[in-house]
Amino acid sequence: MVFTVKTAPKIVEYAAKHKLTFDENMCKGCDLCVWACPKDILKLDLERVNGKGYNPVVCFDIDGCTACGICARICPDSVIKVERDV
Amino acid sequence: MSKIVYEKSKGLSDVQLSYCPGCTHGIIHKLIAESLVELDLLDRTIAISPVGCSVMAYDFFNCDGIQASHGRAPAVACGLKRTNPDKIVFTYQGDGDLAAIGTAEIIHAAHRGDNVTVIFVNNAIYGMTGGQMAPTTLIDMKTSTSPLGRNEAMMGKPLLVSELLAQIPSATYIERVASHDVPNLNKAKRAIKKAFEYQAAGKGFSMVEILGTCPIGWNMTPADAMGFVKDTMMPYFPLGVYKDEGGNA
Ligand SMILES: Cc1ncc(C[n+]2csc(CCOP(=O)(O)OP(=O)(O)O)c2C)c(N)n1
Ligand code: SF4
Ligand code: SF4
Ligand code: SF4
Repeated sequence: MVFTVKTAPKIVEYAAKHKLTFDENMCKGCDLCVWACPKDILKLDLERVNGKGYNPVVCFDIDGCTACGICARICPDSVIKVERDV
Repeated sequence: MSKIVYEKSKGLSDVQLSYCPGCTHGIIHKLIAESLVELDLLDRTIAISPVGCSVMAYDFFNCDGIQASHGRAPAVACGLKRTNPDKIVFTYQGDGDLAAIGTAEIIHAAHRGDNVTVIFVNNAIYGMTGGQMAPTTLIDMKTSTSPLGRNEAMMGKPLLVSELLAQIPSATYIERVASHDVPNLNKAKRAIKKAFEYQAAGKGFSMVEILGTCPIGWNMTPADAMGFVKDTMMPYFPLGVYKDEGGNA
């Protein structure tokens, strides 16, 4: 039996050379990806909340992304997909 | 052309995890799911969830699952494996579950050398019930039942589970890893994969102890909790392989 309520997905994409895709309503605003990103290009959007009531993460400088994948690996809630241009 | 560097593992269901923001239970679930997919074992795996915050873990993996009474997950796993030897059976247990109420079950599963895998998440506290002291709580660590900090004279020193189980003759593979940064997650995943490979090859009992966080119970931000694992937990709970008698899987 599944006890958790599912929120309709909201997919947010950022694309430059590389691409980040956030499954935004799964984000709990924990800040771990922000803390872990070596390029410091992620932040929590304190102006709004997602479907679960958390401040979701946003990318404010996708040009700086190296597609290292650290944010996605550390995210406990599998919010982030990282695609590298090859 | 683009290459996917990371996306959500197919080994996880689409149910939102019930864990608090930034809790390492979610990160450790990902490592298990990725390992089972990469080893092509997911279809024949059964997860045994404990009592603790991960009580509903059976909902989160894309495999079958059973929820055991508090501390009894190893006993359920051993019975299931003995009657279904073609299945891959693992328990997922916290330190309250495994190292307190379930001490007898874990020791005797290892003692019998049952061919199951135990994923032991040591976050030094009882998370689910409100942050009470566990056998693994560090000296001077404040919890809701040790508000002045764990006092060694009264409560002893934290239990070292990997060291303890490595003494058991029939245990095959015991390793302690951590989950606070990507290099350590890579090592943790290698250990989890090895444990599942050993089980698939019939090599006997394996346990991977993973140092994790409880940001809520520790009263810290998730990022500070990651620092606490590195700076405060790791010196007392040294990482490493405590026993490996599996040879090449
Ligand atoms: C027989 C029994 N005794 C006590 C409890 C209360 N209880 C629920 S979870 C828990 C401890 C869980 O701690 P841990 O295993 O460390 O997991 P965490 O929540 O930290 O992930 C306890 C004592 C219970 N559910 N059943
Ligand atoms: S992929 Fe690397 S550089 Fe890009 S946002 Fe994530 S952590 Fe930062
Ligand atoms: S690590 Fe995941 S859940 Fe936490 S803020 Fe980043 S995207 Fe959101
Ligand atoms: S109480 Fe602690 S262990 Fe449980 S989900 Fe919350 S942070 Fe994780």
